[in-house]
Amino acid sequence: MTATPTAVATRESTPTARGAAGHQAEVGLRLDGVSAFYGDFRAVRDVTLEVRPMAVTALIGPSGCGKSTVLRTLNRMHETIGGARVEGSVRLDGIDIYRPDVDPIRVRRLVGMVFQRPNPFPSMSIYENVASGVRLGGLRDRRQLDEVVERSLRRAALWDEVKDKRHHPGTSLSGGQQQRLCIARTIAVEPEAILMDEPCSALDPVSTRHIEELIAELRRTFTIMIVTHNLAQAARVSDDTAFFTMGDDRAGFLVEAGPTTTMFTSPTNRLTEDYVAGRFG
Amino acid sequence: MATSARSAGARLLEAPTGRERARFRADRMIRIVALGATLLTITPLAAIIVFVVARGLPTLTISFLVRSAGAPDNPGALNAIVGSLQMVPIALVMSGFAGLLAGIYLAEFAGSRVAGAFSFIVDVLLGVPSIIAGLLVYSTLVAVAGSSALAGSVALAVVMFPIVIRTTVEVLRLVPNSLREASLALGVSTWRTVVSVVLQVARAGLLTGVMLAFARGFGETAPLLFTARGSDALNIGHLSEPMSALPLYVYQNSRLPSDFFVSQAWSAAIVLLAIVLAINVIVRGRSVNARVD
Amino acid sequence: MVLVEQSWPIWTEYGILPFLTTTTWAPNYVDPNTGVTSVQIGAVPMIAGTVLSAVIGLFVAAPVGVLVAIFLAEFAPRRLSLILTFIIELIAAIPSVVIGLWGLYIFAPFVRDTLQWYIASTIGQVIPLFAEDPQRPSPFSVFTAGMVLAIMIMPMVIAITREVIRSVPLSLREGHTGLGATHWETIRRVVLPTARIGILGGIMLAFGRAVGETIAVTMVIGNIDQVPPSVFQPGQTIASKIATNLGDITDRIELAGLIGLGVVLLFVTVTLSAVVRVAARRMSMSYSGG
Repeated sequence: MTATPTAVATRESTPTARGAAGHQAEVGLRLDGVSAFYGDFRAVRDVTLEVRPMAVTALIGPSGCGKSTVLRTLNRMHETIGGARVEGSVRLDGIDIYRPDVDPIRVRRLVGMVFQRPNPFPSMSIYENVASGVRLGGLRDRRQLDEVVERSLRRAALWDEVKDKRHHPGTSLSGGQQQRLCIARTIAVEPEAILMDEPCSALDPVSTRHIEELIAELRRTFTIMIVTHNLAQAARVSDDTAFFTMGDDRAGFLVEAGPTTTMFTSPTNRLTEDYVAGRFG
Repeated sequence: MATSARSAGARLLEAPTGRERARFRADRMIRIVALGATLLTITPLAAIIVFVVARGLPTLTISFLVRSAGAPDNPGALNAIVGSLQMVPIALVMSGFAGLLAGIYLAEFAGSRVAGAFSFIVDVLLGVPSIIAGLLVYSTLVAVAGSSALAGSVALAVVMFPIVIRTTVEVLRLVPNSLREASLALGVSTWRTVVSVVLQVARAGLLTGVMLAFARGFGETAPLLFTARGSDALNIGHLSEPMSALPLYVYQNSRLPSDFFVSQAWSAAIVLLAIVLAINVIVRGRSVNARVD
Repeated sequence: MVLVEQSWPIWTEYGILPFLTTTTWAPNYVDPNTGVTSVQIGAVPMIAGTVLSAVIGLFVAAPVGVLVAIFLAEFAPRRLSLILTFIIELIAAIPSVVIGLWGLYIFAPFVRDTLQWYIASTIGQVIPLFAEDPQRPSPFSVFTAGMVLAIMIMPMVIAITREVIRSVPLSLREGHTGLGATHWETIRRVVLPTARIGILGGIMLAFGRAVGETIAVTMVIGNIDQVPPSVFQPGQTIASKIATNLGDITDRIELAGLIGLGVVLLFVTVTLSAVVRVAARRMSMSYSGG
C-alpha cells in the first residue's frame, strides 16, 4: 500500500544545470517513514519520499489527507501545535532535522514557509515585514538591510509595485501582493527550500497567475514544495507530484510520487488515476 | 557553483552562535520573569486571606455573631450581618429584575443600532466609580429623606444594575442562533422562543450573573457610606432608618482608636471575605472545572 | 445631571477656574500673615493625589500585568493557566474594604519598611518627589495607595491583555515562527505590537478604575488635604476626600465643592471609558471589514 519513493528514480531532467543557475548548494530533503500525530490521532502514516532539489514538488490529494501536515513536518512547524509529534526521519542533506542536537529554529531558517492566507505582520511596514526574518539573524546595518529588502522584493516580483511605499503597512496591499510580500519575507533569509501551503487558495485568478509565474522563477534557486487542491495548478507549476489520500483509519498516506507528467498521464496506481481524472476528492 | 555556501545539513549541526545563545537565553529568561510576575500577583491574595484569618479569628466568637455593636457588653457584628442580608437582597430585587429585562431586551429584541448605543452606555456605566452611585443617591434621596437602609439599597442597586445587564447580554449571546431559528421555524413567536427556549438554555448563566452582582453588592462600602450610613443598633425591617452592613462595619471599626474594635473589624472581614469568595468560587469554579475537563 | 445641579454654587459662585487651581481646601481659611478669613475650596490636592496614586499603581500594574498575561496566554500549560486565571479573578472579587484593612495594618507598614525605605534612601536622596519624612516616615502615603491600587487593578489589566493577546491570529504567529523566531521573539515582534492598541485600552480602563477606587485608598492614603510634597507623604484623592468628608459637611459652598469633586471624577472616568469603548468599536469594525 505504501508507495515507494519513485521521484528520484525517474528523474529525467538535469539538476546540475539548474543547480548551477542558483548560487546555493544542492539541497536534499528526504522523508523516511514519517508519521505525524495530533495527540493520539495519527494524521499521517509512514511517508517515504525523496524531494528533488531545485524543482517544484506538488503535494496533491483530497482534503484531510494530511498533505499540509506532511509539509509542516519538513520545517518542524508541526510540533508547534500542542500535543503534536512526529515519528520517522526527515533529512536535509543527510542530517535528520529531528536529531536532538538540532534546533528547530535553525531548521526553519533553512526551510521557509508560505502560508495559506497571506499573513503580513499588521504592525509592520512592507519594509519591516521583509526585514523581520533577517533582523532575527542579527543583521542591523541599515544599508545591508536595504539591500536585502530590495533584492528580496525584486525576486518576489513586488519591487516595482511597492518601491515608493515601502514604509506603508504591509496590510495595505492587495491579497496577491500580500502573498508575494510573504514570499519576499521568506526568501530574504536565504533558505534552502520553501514550503508553500496552498498559497493561492485565498487569491483571485490574476494574483494566482502572478504567484505561479513567481514559483517558476524561484525554482531556479530554491527547492519548492507546494500543497495545492487545484490539480491544474499542480500540473502547471510542478516538476514532480506526490499524491496523498486518506486510509480507513483516517490517516493520510502517500500513494505514489513521480514526475508530474507521468503522474497526470499514466499513473501506476488506480487511486491516483481516479483522483487526477476527477473521479473523487 | 555554490562554493560559498556550506551544505544546509552541516549548518544544522553547527554549534549555536553567540547571538543564537543570547536569543535562547532571552527566551528562557522571559519565561522565568513572567512566572515570577505571576507568583508576585497572586501573593497578595494569599497574604490577605492569611492575615485576615490570623487577626480576626481570636475575636470571631459566637457572641460576635449574635450580638449587635450597640450591645452594652460583648458587642458584636449582628447588626452589620443582618443589615447586609437586608439591603443587598433588596438591591438585588431592584437591579436584578430590571437588569435581566434590560439585558434580554438588548440581546434579543433591540435592533442592532439601539443595542449598540445602549450597550455602549452600559459599558461606560460599568466604568463609573461606585462612590458616584453613593453621591448620586446622597444628593437626591438622602437630601430629601435623610439616611436610610432604602437609600443604601438604591445606591447598591445602581452599582449592580449595569453588571446584571452586561452578564445577561453576554450569556444570551452564547446561546446558539440555530436554537432560535429552529424554534422560529416551528412557527413559535419571537417572544415565546425567548421565554421557552433561549432563557431555558441560558438559565444557569443568568443565575451566575445575578450571583456575581450579589457578591459585588455584598462587598461594596463606598455607596453605603452616606446613604445607609451605618447604625450600631440592630435594625430589622426599618428601611427608612440607617442600617449597618458588613463592609461598612469593617470600615468604621478599622478607624476606631481601640484594639478591640479593630480586631472586630478583622473578624467581620473574615465573615465578609468568606461570603464573597464562597459565592465567587462556587459560581466561577463550576465554569473553570467545565473548561478544564 | 443632578450632581452638576447640586454642585452649581461651586462653579458659579466660586468659579470653575479657582476651584480647579486652588491648592487649599478650607472653607474658613485664615491667612496666617494677615489674619484675613476667606473661603478656599481647591481641588488641586485631590486631583494631584488621585493622579499620582493612580499613575504609581499603573506603573506597577501595567508591566507586571502584561507579563502575567503573557505567561497565562503563551507559556503556561492550559490547565495551569485556567487555575491561575481563576485565582486572579478571585483577587478582583475581594471587597475593597478588606484590601483596605489589610493595607492599613499589614501592607502599609511593610511597604514603609521595605520598598519605601529603599527608594527613599536611594532615588529619594536626589529627587525630592521620592524622599520620605526623615523624622517620622509615614506608612500612609500616596505611594502606599498606589501599591494597593496596583494590586486591585492588576486582575483587570491581566484579563484584558490576556484576551487581546489570545485574539492575535495563529497565522501571524506561525508566519513569524516559520522565519525561525523563538517564542519570545514572536511575542515581542508580532504578538505584542499587533495587540498594542487593545493592551493600551485595557490599561486605560484600569487607570479609570484606579482613579475611582474609594475605600481601600481612603484607608491607606493618610487623608490630608495637601499636594503631597513627596509620594511618601500622605495625601488625598477625589474619592477619598468625598468618602471622608461628605456627611459631616453642612457648609453650603463646601458641600457644593465636594459634589463638584464628584462631577470631576465622573467626568474623567466616563471620558476614559467612552474613549476606550469607541476605539475598541472602531477596531473591531475595521477587523471585520478587512
